[in-house]
Amino acid sequence: MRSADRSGDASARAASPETTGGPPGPPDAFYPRPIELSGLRRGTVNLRDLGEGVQVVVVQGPGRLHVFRDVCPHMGGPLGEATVCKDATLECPWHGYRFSLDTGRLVENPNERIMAELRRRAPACFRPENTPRYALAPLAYQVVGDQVYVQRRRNEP
Amino acid sequence: MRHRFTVEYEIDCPVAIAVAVYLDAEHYVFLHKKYSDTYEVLSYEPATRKILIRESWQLFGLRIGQICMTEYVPPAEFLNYDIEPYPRWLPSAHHVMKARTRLVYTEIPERNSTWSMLEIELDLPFWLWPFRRWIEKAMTRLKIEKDEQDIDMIRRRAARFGRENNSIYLADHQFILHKDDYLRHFGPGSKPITRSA
Repeated sequence: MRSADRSGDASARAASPETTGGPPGPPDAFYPRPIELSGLRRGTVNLRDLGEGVQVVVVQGPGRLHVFRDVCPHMGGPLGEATVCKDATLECPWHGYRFSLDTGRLVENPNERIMAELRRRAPACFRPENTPRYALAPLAYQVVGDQVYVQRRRNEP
Repeated sequence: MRHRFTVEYEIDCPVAIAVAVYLDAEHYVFLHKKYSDTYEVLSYEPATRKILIRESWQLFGLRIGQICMTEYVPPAEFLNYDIEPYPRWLPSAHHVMKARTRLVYTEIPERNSTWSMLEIELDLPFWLWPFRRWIEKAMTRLKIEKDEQDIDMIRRRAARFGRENNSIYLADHQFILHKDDYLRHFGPGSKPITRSA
């Protein structure tokens, strides 16, 4: 059995003829349903069900995958309907918040520009300087043949 | 010649959420980008809660849209009027037809949900009068489609954060239109707003 962690070259491993019967470690360390690597579309968001009611979005980057829960940390928007932008960001379909695919961090809230005039004259109860550091939490995964096993995060079912 | 009609239905969320979603302007050109992908503020009068906006979209390489005065009447009433086509030279029904809308949200106490009532008043020239039902249908369809997108958002948020949880809209970092008024009526310690339309 050959496996690779998420820092490896996923596309190279996709060509591996090996098939496996399970995750590359304790089964409870991974979500039960693996993702089929060869079924992922490039340059777009792939929504996948990992079982147990957990859905993730998968974006194929150069030589690696980006895996996040299907939930925007701002208001819970469905990232399965997000847009992959040319600057390697993921744009939430609800409010347009853009997150780095590499780090998960919020890169831009475009409404700061769109609503600039309104924000500038907003009442004192609006305090943008207190904005939390919204971020997507990248999920670790391991590739085994054509299967991508997504690791559970600590304290997550 | 005046044609009036209303579009009414229940929205399954508390009034505080329905109003917040309306005032949450940050979602307008993202969730509703199918209808308009640009929102520009042409003038803003905080004291009167009037915002003159231009909404536009791309059609065959041309940016077209409409200019509209919007007004918030707290706690749960929204007016749109003085609608003009953009650009001005664009052939449009708005050159000959005046439209005003009044949206009112009222509480349905037994279900803690919202009754949404949109009143639309069209001032039509006689030659558009035969088409009034067609215009009514088109405007009704547009209203329902956009509300369905909002309702999907409301449902998903409710499933994750709780049906009555409006804390994100109250958070001091979150921008919504007329936030001071919203806080006054729907923030901590605010009184219920049950009233008839």
